[in-house]
Amino acid sequence: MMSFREKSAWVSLLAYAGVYGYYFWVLSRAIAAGQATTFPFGNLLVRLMVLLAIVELGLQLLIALRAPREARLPADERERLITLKATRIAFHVVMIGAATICAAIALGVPSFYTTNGLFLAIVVAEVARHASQVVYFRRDA
Amino acid sequence: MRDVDRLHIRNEIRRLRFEHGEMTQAELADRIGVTRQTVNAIEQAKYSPSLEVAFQIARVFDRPLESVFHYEPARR
Repeated sequence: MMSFREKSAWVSLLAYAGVYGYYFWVLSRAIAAGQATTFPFGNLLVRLMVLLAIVELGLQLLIALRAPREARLPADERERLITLKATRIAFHVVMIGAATICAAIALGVPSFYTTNGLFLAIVVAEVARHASQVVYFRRDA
Repeated sequence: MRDVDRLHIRNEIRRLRFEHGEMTQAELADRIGVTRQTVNAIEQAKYSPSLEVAFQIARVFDRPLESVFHYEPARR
């Protein structure tokens, strides 16, 4: 049976991958259709961020209500170690993304692409963090 | 690889739980302040606990630390 924190990592992973996966899917289709500069991405992004907050908060609350005692307890040493390992992986992902965007800016890539590229790096880092947590929890379970 | 990297910490937690009235992993977890999953990971030697948790486990079973945990060279 999964611990509360493993369930929490699954919720965050699925919420991030689902919501921002949709955003980048819409983005890629707009770019393919030549509508990159006219599509209201800011509007979509704000709506998706609100949706993510609601979904994440709702699901985290749900799993906390199903295991209230576990949810109240602080993370134990193994759980903290897993969080640290996962955060280190996410750091590497975001650093690679940032370095790539720096190179893109230096090469004169339009800001629309660099801004979304940087956002993609942040999202991938978060997804990598939650996915790593799930893997560590599963592997050491 | 250094010699120390080939060492594994083995433990007698499963046997000790059995000898203490089939204490469950959840009961042991409650007594030392970790999750049941962490006790399971320790018991299966998938996670090496901190000294503090190791001492707490030994105290629950009223045994010296070295009779609960011990190093064994890994099989090659």
